[in-house]
Amino acid sequence: MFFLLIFSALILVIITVFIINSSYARAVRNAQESIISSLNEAAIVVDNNKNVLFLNSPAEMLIGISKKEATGKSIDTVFQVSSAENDAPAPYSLYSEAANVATRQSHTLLLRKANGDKAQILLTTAKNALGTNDCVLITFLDTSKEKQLEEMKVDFVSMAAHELRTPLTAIRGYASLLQMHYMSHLEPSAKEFLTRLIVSTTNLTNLIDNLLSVSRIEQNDLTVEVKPLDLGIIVKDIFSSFEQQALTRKQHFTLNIPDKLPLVMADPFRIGQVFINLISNAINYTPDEGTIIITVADRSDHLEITVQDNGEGIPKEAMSRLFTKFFRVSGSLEQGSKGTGLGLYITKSIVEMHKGKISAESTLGKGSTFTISLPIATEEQKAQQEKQIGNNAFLTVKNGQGIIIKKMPANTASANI
Amino acid sequence: MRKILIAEDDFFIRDIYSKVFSLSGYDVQVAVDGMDALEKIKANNFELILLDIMMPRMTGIDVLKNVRTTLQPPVKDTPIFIITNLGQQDVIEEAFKLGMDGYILKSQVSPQQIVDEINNYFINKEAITNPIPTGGQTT
Repeated sequence: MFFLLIFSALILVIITVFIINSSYARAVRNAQESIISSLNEAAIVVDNNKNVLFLNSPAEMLIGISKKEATGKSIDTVFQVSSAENDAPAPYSLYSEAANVATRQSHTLLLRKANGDKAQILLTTAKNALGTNDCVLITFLDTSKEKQLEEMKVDFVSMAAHELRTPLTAIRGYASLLQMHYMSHLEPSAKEFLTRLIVSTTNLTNLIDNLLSVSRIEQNDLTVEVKPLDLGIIVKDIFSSFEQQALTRKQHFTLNIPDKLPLVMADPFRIGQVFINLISNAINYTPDEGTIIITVADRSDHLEITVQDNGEGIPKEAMSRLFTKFFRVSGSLEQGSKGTGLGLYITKSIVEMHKGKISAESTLGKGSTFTISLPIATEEQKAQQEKQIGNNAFLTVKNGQGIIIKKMPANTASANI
Repeated sequence: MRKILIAEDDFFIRDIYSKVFSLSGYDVQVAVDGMDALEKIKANNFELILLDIMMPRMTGIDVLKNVRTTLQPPVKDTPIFIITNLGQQDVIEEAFKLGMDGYILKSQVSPQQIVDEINNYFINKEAITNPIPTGGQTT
């Protein structure tokens, strides 16, 4: 009798605990559901068997499916996404690392809506619990508009730069015509104004060219045409074109280069731009009578090119952002920064298109060293290109402010093959 | 006096180029578009042709192609330089294949530099055609 009493009391306690527990679990689940429902972001909750437990109304709207239709179905049938780069299907397992690692993971994907339309989304997954069940919370935002705006911005910059260039070429042209042929007719102050006009239009031209390069990089439209190339010819040419400028500044300007260099796979014009950028930076940011040393070294599987100066250097805190777009080292010059903040970004992009690497070391007040490494052409690559070399090879020459590209004599192009 | 043709559709740029070449002692003729250029090339005997790429009626590339493939020597072999803007890499490659002799990036050089470059071109060409007997040629 006594035992029976104890037993039934125990049962009662267990049932009560169970009821309290399950009603607690239900309450928690309800609270969670209402939180997820109130999100502006679209959200789907998926259980461990990859089935949809719950989705909020932004998700219903974005996918074009109702809660009723979706619940209980496999996530891969409800939520069809593909890679934003190549449109390859991205099944749940590709973006659900959260289920294992419990950290937030973000992906840019293309969502295929129920009506067949596609939208770019930014998706985040996180490990979660709904009520007492382990689950994964998928949240996503429609970023199609942002993508569209970004494209419009790039198109606009590109178009504006192109349109600006023609009148600017005319301004520079007439200014240089005056400078070359009518200087003797001008008063001394007018001569000075003309020189300033030319300097400013040259800076503006460089800025526009840089903006165009950046918009090409962002549109994945800046291509490199690599071919086996004797970098020595290019570096020497660019070096000699800067000698006069360095001489005017009384800078010690030296080039250390071995007589014979292995060929690298490079685009002569683009890689020329890289050296022009680095050398002109070194000259600009090194005081009069400073030292600039350019070294080309054969490191068996790659060529290493360093541009070293003992100029003003770069502050430590600026180093990490040196190669980012529109970044300029602030306060580095009393008279204000000279550059556009685009040169090193473009330089880095071009080097990376060559499967090369670029790095910088600097000590404030002591100088900077920029190092580029470019992979050496393999025998296979050389053989593949051998036939085309000669007639099509051309050479970049920086001539004072300008670049003139000439046909490369066939014998220089194939000298080291 | 060397007779050259400058084909450029922009009025100001055409004016600048023709002035700067005239001042440097060239006999300059101008063409306002590609078709005009081709007609003038056929009717004259130029020593050099400078072509812009983006021109109405016919692009510089098409003019180049026409000269190299449809005309008779010596006009067919007239030296042709393309004057263009930065970055039209594929077009430049194509022009080299079609037999362009060189190209100049218009936004990057001053008109005088173009003249200097063309002067050098003629000096080098003469050195190759009439080599100085005593001096060896270096690459």
